[in-house]
Amino acid sequence: MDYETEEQQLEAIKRWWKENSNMVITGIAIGVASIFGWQYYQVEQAKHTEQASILYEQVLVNSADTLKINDQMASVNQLEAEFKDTPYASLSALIIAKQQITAGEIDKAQQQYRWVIENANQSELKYLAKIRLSRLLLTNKQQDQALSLLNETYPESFNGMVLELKGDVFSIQGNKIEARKAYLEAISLSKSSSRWLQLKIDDIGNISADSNLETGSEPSA
Amino acid sequence: MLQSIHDKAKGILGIIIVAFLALVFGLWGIGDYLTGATEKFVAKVDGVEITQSQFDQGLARQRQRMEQMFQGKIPDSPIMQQRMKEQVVEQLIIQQVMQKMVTDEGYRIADVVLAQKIKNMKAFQQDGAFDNNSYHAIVQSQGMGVKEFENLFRNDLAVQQLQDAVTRSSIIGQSELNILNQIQQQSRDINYLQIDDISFLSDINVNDDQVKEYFELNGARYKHPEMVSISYVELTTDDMAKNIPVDEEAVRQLYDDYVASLSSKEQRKARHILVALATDADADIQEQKKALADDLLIRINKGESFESLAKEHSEDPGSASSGGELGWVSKGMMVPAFEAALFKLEKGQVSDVVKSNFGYHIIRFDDAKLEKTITYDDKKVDLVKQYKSQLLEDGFYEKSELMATTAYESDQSLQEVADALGLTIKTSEAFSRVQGKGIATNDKVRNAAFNPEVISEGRNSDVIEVSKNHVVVLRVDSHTEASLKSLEEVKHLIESAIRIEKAREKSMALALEALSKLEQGESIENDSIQVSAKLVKLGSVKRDDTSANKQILTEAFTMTKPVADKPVYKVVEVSGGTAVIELKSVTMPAQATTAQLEILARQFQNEQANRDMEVVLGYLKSQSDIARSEEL
Repeated sequence: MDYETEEQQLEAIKRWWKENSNMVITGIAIGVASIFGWQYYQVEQAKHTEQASILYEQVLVNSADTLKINDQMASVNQLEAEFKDTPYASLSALIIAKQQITAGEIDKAQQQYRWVIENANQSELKYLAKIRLSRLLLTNKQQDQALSLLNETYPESFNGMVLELKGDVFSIQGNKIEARKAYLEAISLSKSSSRWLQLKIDDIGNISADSNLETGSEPSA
Repeated sequence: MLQSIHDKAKGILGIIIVAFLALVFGLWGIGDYLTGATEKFVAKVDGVEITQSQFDQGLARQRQRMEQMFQGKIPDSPIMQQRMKEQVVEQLIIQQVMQKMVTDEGYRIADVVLAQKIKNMKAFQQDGAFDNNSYHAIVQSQGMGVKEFENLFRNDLAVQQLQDAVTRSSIIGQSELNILNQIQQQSRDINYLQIDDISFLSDINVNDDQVKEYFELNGARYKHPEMVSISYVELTTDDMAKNIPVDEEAVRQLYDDYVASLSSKEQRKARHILVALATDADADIQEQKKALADDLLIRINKGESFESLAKEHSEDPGSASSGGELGWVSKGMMVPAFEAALFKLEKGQVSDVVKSNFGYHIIRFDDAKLEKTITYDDKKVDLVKQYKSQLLEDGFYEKSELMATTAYESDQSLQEVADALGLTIKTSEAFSRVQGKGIATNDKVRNAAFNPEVISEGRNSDVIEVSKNHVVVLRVDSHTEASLKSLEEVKHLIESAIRIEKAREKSMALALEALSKLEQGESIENDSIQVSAKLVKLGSVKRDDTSANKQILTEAFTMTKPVADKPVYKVVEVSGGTAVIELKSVTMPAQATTAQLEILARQFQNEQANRDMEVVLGYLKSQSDIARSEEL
């Protein structure tokens, strides 16, 4: 709708202001409060993250020392309990898992990987943990569990690694045809040349379906 | 318009809109709306542009690294250049991706950690301790503010945290290692028949028809390369040096500087007696001590031994016991008052009482060490060189600039360039893109001569920097396109090519014949199989056996494994002939011990770590929207 004169317009503005001034002022107040609130939140969040970051650096420094595994565990527990919202909890879990594997504590390492899979907000760490868990399962002769973990969907960049591992599982199960298929697919995805993957393919040789039955004579891992 | 605001801004909605606007401007400011981007960009990562100047800087750094790696000789081919550019763009993209990752995933380096890492950097240290001035100076010399540097560094450290975690926690399962161990350690029992082409070469006759036919099919392979010959003008500092008149006076001055620099290197052997005095001692004590020192000086001058007086009375704990001996002292080592007094003395002389902030010294100058002074005449050649090189540094640059502008402005001839610089025009023999003599041994010169503008438009080239002290401008005198060689010219080449081809056909035929006999069950040891062939019994070998023929080994280890003791055969071409490989059996290694697996694990640790990081990086990149500019 149009206003006929400027006075009328002015009138309209005044009226609007009379009716809404409280609201506008409240709005500005809330806006200003949110800015300060947000900044306060950010500062607190930064402090929280820095604390986690420092704890993680400690875990990293002691990562090669198997004797310190108990101290390490305390830090990792704290990170997982209080700093789950930072990437440092998962990073530390991955590191302690390796340390546990070196110390022969395979079950505990599995728990760490499972923790990352369930709790990490960073997908790349989650998928990395899945692959590493499947490596442990394979070592534990739990080939079916390893395979079902590897059969889940992974982002593209993980596929080469997943397929090679699948090939390893099939190979250990004596299924040379599936192994070869997986290896060949893996090598077609890999950007850099992988000498060992090629050797795995060469070693199986160009077998056809009927020769698969005969491979039982080799000593298996 | 106002009415619509009136309608919409009523009530709670008004509050929300205003609160929202306040938030937006409060958080991001209005700066983003005012700066317009006009610069060219080479790539875009999630809308963030990687600018041309960032790329140029990156390329310059990469070039520097390559120069160090190849010791100044970067392979200069266009393909290498293009690859280097692509690598630099990739690095910048990864940098941007990682920067985004750090923010999005909430990585953060604490201020104390950042400070610690900066303090520990060798570049910012002086005498082993962090030096704030050097820190600021070095950072600013990189064209950065300290704040900017710290932000970048903070970011790098955060990326490092992820990388450390991923790579140091890499694992390889024992079962996977076992598979690798079985591949690495398996041995294969191998024999092979080798049939050499060379034994058939002399039996093969080639007639003209065959040569003609071959030439018709393959003539395009035989070419005279494209050639050019050039005229060029070259400027070197050595040539310039000849024309610089020597200013005798300036050389004299250099000699004086040299002599002065010698005396600053003089070392003096000295002794002293110290009567210690605290810096805040009052006047009475000062007087007492001064009297003590004066007394000692009188006793020395009367002939008492300096050494024994020092032993008895000197309050310098470091030297008193050795009779005041200080050893060799050079300028800058001692407090100024002491130094001034010592270097004023004649050899053997004892100083007056000298006051420093340690107290009162009596000093004796025992001996001097001076680098031998070279006479003016002997030094002159060096000095003239030094004198000229100072002048040349500027002169060479100016002259190359003059060369560049003259060559560009009158680009249809070299005469003006030669005249302007007082140089002569030289000419080269004809050379190809890949090979040349004289000036054309330099690949920058060859590349410039084959530049399309130079070669077909007949222009002068740019100034080519052959080396730091040597620049060249050239133009093409004559140019011959690549041309096919005539039958006559290549006849003997073709004859031998045909011979080799036929010989290979013969050895292949024999190999196939042997193969069919072997597959029917004949033994490889039978004489009837070894016609024109040599039997090599490799026996049981591993894949990295260095004594065996590499080609045979590689082929034998890709052969399908024999089943039920039935050997497997394969015909392969090797260099110089054909071979028939017999793979009799494959023996797997015994189950690896834990120790062996550990060795293997260590062997693969790095490779595995790199692969893990590569995968993570690949994933992070895939999460960003990356656009690359077409042209680089």
